[in-house]
Amino acid sequence: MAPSRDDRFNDLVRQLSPAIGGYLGRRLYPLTRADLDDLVEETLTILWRRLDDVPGDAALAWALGVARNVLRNAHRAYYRRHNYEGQLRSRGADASAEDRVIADEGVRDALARLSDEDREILLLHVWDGLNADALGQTLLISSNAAAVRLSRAQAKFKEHFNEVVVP
Amino acid sequence: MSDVIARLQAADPFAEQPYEHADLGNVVTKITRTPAVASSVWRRFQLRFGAAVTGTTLVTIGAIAALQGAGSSLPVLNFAASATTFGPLSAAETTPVAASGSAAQFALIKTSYHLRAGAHLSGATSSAPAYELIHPASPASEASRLAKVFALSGAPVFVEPDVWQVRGGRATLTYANAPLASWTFTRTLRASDLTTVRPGAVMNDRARAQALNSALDFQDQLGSPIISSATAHATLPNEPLTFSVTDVRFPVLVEGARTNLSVTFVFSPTGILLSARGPAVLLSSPYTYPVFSPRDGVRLLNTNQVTPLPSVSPRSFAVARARIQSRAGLYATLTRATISLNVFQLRDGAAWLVPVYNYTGASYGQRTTLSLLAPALNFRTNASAATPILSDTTRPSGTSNAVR
Repeated sequence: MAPSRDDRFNDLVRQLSPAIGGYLGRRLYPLTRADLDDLVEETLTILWRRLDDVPGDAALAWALGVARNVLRNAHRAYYRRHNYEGQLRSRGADASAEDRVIADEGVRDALARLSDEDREILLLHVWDGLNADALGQTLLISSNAAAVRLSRAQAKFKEHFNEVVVP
Repeated sequence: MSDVIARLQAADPFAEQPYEHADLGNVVTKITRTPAVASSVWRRFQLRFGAAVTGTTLVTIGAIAALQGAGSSLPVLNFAASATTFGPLSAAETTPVAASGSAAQFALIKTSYHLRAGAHLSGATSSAPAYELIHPASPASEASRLAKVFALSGAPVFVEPDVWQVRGGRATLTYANAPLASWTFTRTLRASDLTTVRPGAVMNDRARAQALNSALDFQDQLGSPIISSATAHATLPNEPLTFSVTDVRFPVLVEGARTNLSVTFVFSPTGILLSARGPAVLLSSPYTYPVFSPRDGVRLLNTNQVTPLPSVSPRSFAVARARIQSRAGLYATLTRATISLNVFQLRDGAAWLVPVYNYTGASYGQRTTLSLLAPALNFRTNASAATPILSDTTRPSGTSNAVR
């Protein structure tokens, strides 16, 4: 017998909420920890509303794609509210959300030198555990394109790391 | 995997302590009770105030709450929550269903309440004040006044409808008029600040005391009536999470009654005020509404079974689930009820502080404390309510000085 809608949602929440919370938590800044539960809740709400659209074999990638949009909206709202657009600076002058949670200076500096796109795909792979197929689902690109972009991001990261870390 | 990528992986701040929502069971319950197309206003309201009821189960009494009593001069409070959002469970949904998976830390258990009032729970009706939350008369002036507290002296700038800002240097004070008048202060860190506010840095005792003193000073200067009613029950959670900041939070009390409003200040480990936020509302004069008795409130909860399961700790959950499965329902004895004030948004957009009962008790003989919130006002849930719990209404003890 197929599981009920509630049962499926319950299972998905149990399986995915740590990953969703982790994804959002790593990228919160300038929002704070106090906002994290609300963002997770908003992501889960969308998951519930669109439960029929959640692919059975790629639920994590789908959910992280939703979380990504939720976070973007939250950041947009924050910046709009605080009128930060004019204060945003280029990479290197300020730190990204991910940069601010990394204690390893070499990793942090190398990561800060990546473009936003390279950093996102690299961390989705290394921190959130997405493979090329899942990356494609989350970023709405083909698996091949995701694999190419990931490979390029990894190479750039290693290159920057070797530049900033003195042996 | 190369050493470099391994180092990146090791830098994952969530690798050691995976995220875990503090109250996922209630979140799931709330979400699955939400219709597919929810009111955006209600959704915003939930997001804004949802955190304040973490650890409790919010039970509302349904659709349009029509105050009874012919000739009453009390305002009728039409809550924004729709009937479909908080309608009672259907008969089919009262079948107990436990979450699958033995390791579940939470569960969506649909059950029926079998709540009993403890012997000492009062059966006496009473009255309690409700307050309309009033926006300041001049948003720009209020933004300017608040900005001065944070040493910002610029002129307020109209940013978008309902939002004014005062900026100075790297700090911004934002005043927003909707849905609840509130203010937010933020300071952007310089790159040089980041060298002192390092991830993992922990505020020491001396700096913590300074942060608390600073917060008290700010609170004194903020000075609106509602904030001056707050007490300095500051908490300093030392969370070495993502940003190593320290929060100083002041719960807002109104005439001694607890509310779900608060004022929060966030400091860096070096004592820099990074952000702060709080309500900017004024209170109307109190409207004294009749309140049903705590004992009748239990009956109301039983007849409006809109929330599947109150908060239980994971440890006691297995016991609770087993008993629910065998006894088809949630059996609990509520032994204590206190009144606090929670913000509710009305259909016309107004926000009110409304008295609610906070019930505590125990279930299944466990020491686990459960908590249920129910609006305490003596409303009739809808026209078809079988047993309205009513008493005569009283006139308000004051009149509103609302500016809207």
